[in-house]
Amino acid sequence: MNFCGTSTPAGKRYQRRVMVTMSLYVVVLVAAVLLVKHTHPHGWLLYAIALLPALPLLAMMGALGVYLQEEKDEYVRLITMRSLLVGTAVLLAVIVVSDFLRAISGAAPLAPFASFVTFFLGFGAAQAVQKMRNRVSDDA
Amino acid sequence: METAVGKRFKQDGFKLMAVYFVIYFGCFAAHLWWLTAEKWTWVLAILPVLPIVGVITLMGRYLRDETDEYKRDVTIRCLLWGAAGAVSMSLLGGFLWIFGWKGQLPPFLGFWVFFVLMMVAKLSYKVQNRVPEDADVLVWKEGSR
Repeated sequence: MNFCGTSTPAGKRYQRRVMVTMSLYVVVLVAAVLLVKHTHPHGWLLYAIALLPALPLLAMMGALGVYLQEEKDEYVRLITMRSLLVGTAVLLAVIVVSDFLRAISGAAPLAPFASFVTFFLGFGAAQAVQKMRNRVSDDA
Repeated sequence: METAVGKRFKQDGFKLMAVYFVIYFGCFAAHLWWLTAEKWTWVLAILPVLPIVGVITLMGRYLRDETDEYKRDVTIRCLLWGAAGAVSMSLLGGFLWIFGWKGQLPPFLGFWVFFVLMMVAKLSYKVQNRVPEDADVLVWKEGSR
């Protein structure tokens, strides 16, 4: 069984959308870096350019939402929903601990992209654990 | 109409959020007045996470027990909106740092964006799908004709 993968038509569509958003991310990121390097923007323009590469990554989360809506297999959907909960719990835990340390002891902020990576690591780990727990042998 | 499972989730969720705020301000106070040693810093930072994990666990239980497919869908969509908001704040900070910005986003911004976006999403779904309170009666009357 392949969760959120190629086992169902919705899973296939989800994978295609992720590929598209990741390709878009690379293109937008390179364009934003070049733009900042050559025009040296600051203030609101810099904030706006910094938001641009985040959009395809957010679209990736949107694709996850669309996948959950389209997925017909109840069980695969349940697994994805549980994984989403685990990913969110890990994300919030990391944000709260890090921000608390910043607020009370002046610790350094999280490394760039730490939250994004943490969310998808938590999501992926939860999927892998559930996959292992529900593994049935080939001759079952 | 709210289901019994939904009511229980709301009640328990509010209680846990109240516990969160008590722990949150308690940890700040403890750090200022009693537990000032550095060894306590990590303990105080981890304590407020516990009620948050509790709320997420409650949400998992709610999603398991809720029989209304639509309500389950809306809850998951709201969660995704919140997570996307929190992640986008972190991504914004990350890209600004890469582009040479020397400042820092305020602490707890991601956390608050998460909750505000979740609430906004919930409200917007509620407004979009509003049905009059007597909709069930109207449907029943139409059926009996």
